[in-house]
Amino acid sequence: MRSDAVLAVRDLSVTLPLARGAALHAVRGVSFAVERGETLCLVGESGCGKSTVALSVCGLLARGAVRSGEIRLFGEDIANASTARMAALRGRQIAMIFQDPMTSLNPAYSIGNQLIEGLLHHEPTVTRKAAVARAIALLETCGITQATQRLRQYPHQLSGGMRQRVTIAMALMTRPALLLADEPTTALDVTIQAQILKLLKRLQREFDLALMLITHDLSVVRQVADQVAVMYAGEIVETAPAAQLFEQPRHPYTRALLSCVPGIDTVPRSRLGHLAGSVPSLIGRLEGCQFRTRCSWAVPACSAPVPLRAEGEHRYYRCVFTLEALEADRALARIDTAVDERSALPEESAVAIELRGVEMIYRLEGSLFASHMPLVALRGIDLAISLGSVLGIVGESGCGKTTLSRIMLGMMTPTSGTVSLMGQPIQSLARLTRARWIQPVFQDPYASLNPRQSIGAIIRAPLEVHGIGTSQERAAKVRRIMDACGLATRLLHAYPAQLSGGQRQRVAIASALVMRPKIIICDEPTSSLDASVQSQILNLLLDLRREFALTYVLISHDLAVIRHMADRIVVMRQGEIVEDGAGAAIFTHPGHPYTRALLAARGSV
Amino acid sequence: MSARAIGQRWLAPSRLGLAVGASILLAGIVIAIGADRIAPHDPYAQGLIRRLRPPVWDARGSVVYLLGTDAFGRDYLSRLIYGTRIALIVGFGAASVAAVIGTALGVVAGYIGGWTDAMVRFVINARLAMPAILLALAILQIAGGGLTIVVLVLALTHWDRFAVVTRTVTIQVSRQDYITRARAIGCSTPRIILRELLPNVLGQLLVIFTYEVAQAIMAATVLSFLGIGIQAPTPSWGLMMAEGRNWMRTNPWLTTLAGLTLMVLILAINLVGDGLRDLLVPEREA
Repeated sequence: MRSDAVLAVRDLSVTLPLARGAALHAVRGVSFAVERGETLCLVGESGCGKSTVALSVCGLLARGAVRSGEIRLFGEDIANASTARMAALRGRQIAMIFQDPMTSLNPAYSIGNQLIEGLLHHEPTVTRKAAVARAIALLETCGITQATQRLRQYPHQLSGGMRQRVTIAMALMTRPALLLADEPTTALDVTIQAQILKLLKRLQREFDLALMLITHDLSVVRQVADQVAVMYAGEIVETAPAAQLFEQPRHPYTRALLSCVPGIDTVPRSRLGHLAGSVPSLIGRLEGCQFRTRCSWAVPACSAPVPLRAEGEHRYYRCVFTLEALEADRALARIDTAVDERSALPEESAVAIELRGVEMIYRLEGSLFASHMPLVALRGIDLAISLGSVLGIVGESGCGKTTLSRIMLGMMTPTSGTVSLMGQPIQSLARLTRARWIQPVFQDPYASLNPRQSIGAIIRAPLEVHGIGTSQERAAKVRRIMDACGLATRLLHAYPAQLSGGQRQRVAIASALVMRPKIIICDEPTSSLDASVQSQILNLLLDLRREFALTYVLISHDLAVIRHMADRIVVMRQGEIVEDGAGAAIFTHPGHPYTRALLAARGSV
Repeated sequence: MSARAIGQRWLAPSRLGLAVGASILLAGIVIAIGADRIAPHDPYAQGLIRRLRPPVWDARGSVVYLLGTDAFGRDYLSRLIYGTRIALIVGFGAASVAAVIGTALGVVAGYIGGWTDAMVRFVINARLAMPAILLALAILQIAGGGLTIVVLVLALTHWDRFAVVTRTVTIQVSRQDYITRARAIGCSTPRIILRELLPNVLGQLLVIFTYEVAQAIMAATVLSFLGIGIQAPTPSWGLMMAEGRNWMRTNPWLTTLAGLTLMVLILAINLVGDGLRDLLVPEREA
C-alpha cells in the first residue's frame, strides 16, 4: 500500500443484513489506493459491488449495512469517523458525481444557487460574491459559455451534457482532493460522453485530483484509466495498469469480459466470447473464487481460499493458477471463445422494406403563451432494405431512429411519403398480415414483457392471436422456439420478475420469432444489458438469423455492436440520413463529418 | 415457518393494521351473512311493553336484550346485526358498480386518447362538479328509496376516483413496450385492453376500492339519517341513529352504539386499504 495515496482502502467488506438472519456479502476484502493525479477505474458488471464500494468511501451506505476494513483519506481513518466529520469531508475533500444529471440536480433551484450552496456551507469565511466568482470561473473551466447568465438558469433549461458539466463544476467548488464519479457518462450520448471524459481528464491535471471512476463500460476505461480494478461478485479479481490490462489480461474473468466486447479487431458476425451461467448469489457463506462456476479453468482447488498473486508493484490478480499456467492455456482459450462461424446467407435481391420520401412531423401542443410548433422528426428518408440483410441504424438520442422503427413496424403513419413491406404499401396491409412479416425487439427487457403474464403465455400470445395450430401444436412451437433461444423449458410457468435481464431479452426475442416473421426490428436490443449478457444476445441473434433466414434492422447508439452485426450501416442525424454504406467501408472511410465525429468519440473500442 | 418468524412478519406496523382491519371486516362479513342465526331476536318485532330498555351494563338492563331496546321495543343488538348486512351490501355493491363504471371509462379514455379521452374527462369533471349528497338526495326523492336504488345512486356518485386513477395508470402502462409489442403482434384493441392493460391496472384499484366501500357506507348512513334512501323499518344504522336522536338526552346509547359500530367498520376497512397499499407497493416499507 502506497503511503502517499489520497485514498487507501484496505480489506473493505460490506455486509447487508437481509430478512430472517440472512446476509448479503456485497463487498469482500477489497483493497486499492488512488494517488493525486491518478485515475482509478473500478469496472465490473451490474451487481458486482462497485457502487457499494463508492458509497462506503463516502460514508453513505444504507442504514444497517455492516462495514469492516480500513478506509484512509490522507492517512486519516475515515471508516470510523463521526457522522459530522464525514459530512465535513464529503463536501470538502471528497466530491461525487452521479450517473444521471437529470436527477442529481434539484429542479427547484437555479444552478447558481446549487453551485454556491455547498461552498458557503462548508467555508463560512467565503463571501457570497467570492463564491459566485468561483462558480463562474469553474463553469467556464468546465466548458460552459456565458457562465454568468447560466447561473440564473434552472436544470431543465440545460441539455444533458451541460447538466453533467454543471455537476462536475459543482463537485469542484470546494477544491476537493478526491473525485468519485459513479457512471458519469452512462446516461449520455457517445459524442457528449467523449467530451465529458476529456473534460474530467483535463480537470484532473489542472486540479491535481485523485479520480475514482466507476463504470461498467470498458471503452470508458480504455479512454481514461491509469489503473484498473476489475470487480466480480464483490471482490477485486484483478488490478493492473490500464494498458497492461487490455493487452494481457490475467484473471480468467477479465479475459472472458474482454472477449465479450466486439472490438476493432473482431471479425464481423463472428461469435463473441461469452460467459456461461450467471453471477452467483452473494447470500450466505462464501468461500474460494466466486468465478469458478463460470470459469473454463476451474479446478477443485478454486473452492478453497485463493491467494492474491502480485506481478510487479501495480499488478495483482486473485487466481489459483500462476501466470505460467494461465499463459500455457491462453492459446487454447482463444480458440474456445473466438471460433469464426461466419457463413454468408444466400444473396437475395428482394426488397423487404422500402421507404420513399418519408417525413414525420409532430405537432407539439401549444401552450397559452406559445403557438403550435411543428417538430420535424424525420425528413426525406429514402431507404430500401433487402431481404436477408442486416441493416444497422446509428445515431444519437433524438435523431429520429426510434420514430423510424415505429414507422417500419406500422405503429405510426408518416406525415408524408410511402412505406412498403414486402412490396405492398404498409397501410393497406391487414394487421395480422403485417404482424407475420415484421416483429420488434425492444431495448428494455423490463418494460417489454407484461409482468402479469407467464413466460409461456407471453411467447404463446402471437400464436393465439393469429389462431395458429391446436393447443398441442402451439405448446410444441413454444417449446421449440424457447429451445432455439436458449430458454429452459422450466421457465414456461415463470413470471418476468423471476428472470434476469438477459433471460427476459431472450423471451422477447422468442416471442417475436414464434410466428416465423421475415424481418426483426431490434431497437437497442442490448443497451440495457451487461457486456457478458450483451455478447450472449448478439450471438443468439446471429445464430437465429442463420436458422430462420431473418432480416434484421438493428438500431443502436453503440458503434461497436453495429459494426459487429451489420453489413450495411445508415448514420442518422437530426431526422436525416447523413451516410449510408457497407459496414466496413463506413468504419475505414467515413464520409460525413458527423460519422467521423462519432467514430472519434468512441475511441478504439 | 416458526411462530417467531410469523410474529415478526405480521407484527410490523402496517401488517398489524392489515391483520386487525381484516379480522374486523371478516367478522363483519360473517355477522352479515349469518345474521338470521346470530341475531337473538327478530329485528322487526315490536313490543311497546319493553320499549327503551337500557343495555345490560345499566342497572335496569337485562341479559335478554343485551344492548337494550329502541322506542318501538325492538331488540337493539339484533337491529345492529341486521344493519351490518345492509351496510356491507350497500358498501360493496355501490363500490363494485362504481368500479365497473369508472374502470371502463378510465381504461378506454387512457388507451384510446384523443377525442374519447376529452369526452371522458368532461364527464368526470361534470360529475366532480355535482355535489354528491345533493344529487343523491334529488334522485332518491324522485325514484323513491329501497336498497337497489340506494346502491345504484351511490355507485353513480362514486365512480369518479376509479376513472381518474385508471386513466392515469392506463396512460403510464400504455407507454410500456409490452403494449407496443402486443400491437405489433397484431392484437385487437379489446384484447390489449382486457389482457395486457387491465391486469396491470387492477392492483392499483384495490386500494381505491376499499376506500370507496367505506365512503359508500358513510354516504348511505348519511342518507338514511336524513330519512331518504333506505326506509324504515329496515334496520339501517343511519335510520337507527336518526330514530335515537329524539331520545338523545335520556337514552344516548340509541345513537352512540350505532355510530360506534359504523366507526369501527369504517376504520377496519381503511386499515385493510392501507395494509393492501403497503403490500402492493412494497418499496414504501423500510
